[in-house]
Amino acid sequence: MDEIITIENLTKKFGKNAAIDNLSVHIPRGKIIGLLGPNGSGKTTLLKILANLLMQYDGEVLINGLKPGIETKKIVAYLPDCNFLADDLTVMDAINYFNDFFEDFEKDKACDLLARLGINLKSRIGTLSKGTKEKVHLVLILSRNAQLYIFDEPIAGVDPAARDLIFRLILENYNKNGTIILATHLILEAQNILDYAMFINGGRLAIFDTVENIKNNTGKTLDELFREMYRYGDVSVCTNY
Amino acid sequence: MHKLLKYDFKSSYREFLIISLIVIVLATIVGFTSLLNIDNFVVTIIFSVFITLYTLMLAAIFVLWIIFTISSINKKLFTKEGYLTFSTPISLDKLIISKVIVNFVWFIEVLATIVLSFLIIMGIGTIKYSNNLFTYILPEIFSFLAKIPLITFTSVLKVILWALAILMTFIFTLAVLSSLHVRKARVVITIFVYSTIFSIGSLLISAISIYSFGIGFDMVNGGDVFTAQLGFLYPVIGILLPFKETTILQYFSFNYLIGMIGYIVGLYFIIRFLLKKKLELD
Repeated sequence: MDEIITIENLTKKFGKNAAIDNLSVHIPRGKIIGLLGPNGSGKTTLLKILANLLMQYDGEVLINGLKPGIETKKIVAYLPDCNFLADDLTVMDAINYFNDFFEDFEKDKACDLLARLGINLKSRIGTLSKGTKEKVHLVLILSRNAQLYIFDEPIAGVDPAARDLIFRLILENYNKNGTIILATHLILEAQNILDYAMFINGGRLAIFDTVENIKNNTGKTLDELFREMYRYGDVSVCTNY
Repeated sequence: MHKLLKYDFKSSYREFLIISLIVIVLATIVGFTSLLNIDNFVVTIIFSVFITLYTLMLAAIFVLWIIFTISSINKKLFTKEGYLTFSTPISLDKLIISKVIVNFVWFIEVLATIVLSFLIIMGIGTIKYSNNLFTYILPEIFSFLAKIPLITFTSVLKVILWALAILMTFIFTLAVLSSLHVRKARVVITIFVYSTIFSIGSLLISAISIYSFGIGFDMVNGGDVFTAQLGFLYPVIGILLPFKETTILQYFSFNYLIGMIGYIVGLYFIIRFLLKKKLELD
């Protein structure tokens, strides 16, 4: 199987607490992977390691065969769970920044997408509504022909209609040869677009398999499985794994 | 690197250009009011108001440089904007160096503004005299500096090292606070803490200057001389105290040069380590 990400025995501690605890997983290329887990399960920590924002950890992480660093940043498009654009930038400034620093960025695609969404390129980021800011961030990330897209809770905090729009934007605009890792705890909305699901609990890998296999093996949808695992703490539901 | 510098300059030029413009305008007004009849009560009041405003702005401009510099470095590296900064394919070295270069340029711009404002006041204030700024004062200054080329050069070098050391101290303080998970009032804490760190650094530099070799100014004969000095030195811009009882005033110590370079390079590697191993974005 062609892998985009190889993780072996990854452990990341903050003080004495392990946010990621001896996690090993091999993520295939060209798929949409749901990174599922409740708040505090280690999703964001894992994504930060993949995005090279956290560089101190034990174990091995390889992206496209390379350790996270400048070379992997060129092929990884990372959308964190916060607004990373300065308020005094205009939307056009943000586009120019991406165009200047990311070789795989398509400026025309970004401008076209923003125009379709009715977002004025001259608007300052600070003057935009929360939902519009999220759309601008998403468009910037999706306008890269990245090999790996990392989305950290892209639909958290937006209304259901906007969630549909965000999923549609992602599915229509990502590089189809690329891989998507989508971290979310809103499984119901996300489960239909996922090829694989990766459940993590307390920094440990609980399940990693295709959505179809998970359904067949457990007899449950991802949402049902998620609720059982995390609401009731019943990890026995993943005994088949 | 040049792209990074472009965006860093773009995000900070407004504040500095506005402040500089205010200082220059005030200097021009002060210069012209000094030409008016100083015996007139109203003129005296107007002159006093503008000279006070000008003096306040001179004091404020360095404070504002410190605040803007700390604030901009904090925003770009340690807040949410850091997610974009650190996910951009740029090396840590380029990130740190670009922040130092941009804010060093603004430091030079602030200095240039102050010098220019002095020249404007003196230029306008002495315009009616035959020995004015351009015919007497500036030629005299340049003539004196030409007699002491080593001291002129080392004084400039000392200001450059001082500014770089201050900038590295800002980034170091912010990086330490970030790695300690200090998220609230980080800029304010840095403003108060950096001077302590810098003072400790200066003290250590002074400690290696107990017996120092350097360049001095011969006060009897005038001009540069190489000198050696025994005694505790406290470095300030352009001069090393205390005055010696001899006729030679030590201006620049090589120990001090080595100490300052060591301080700057040492902090650079500590900052690099903190960003690589201990980065904690908001």
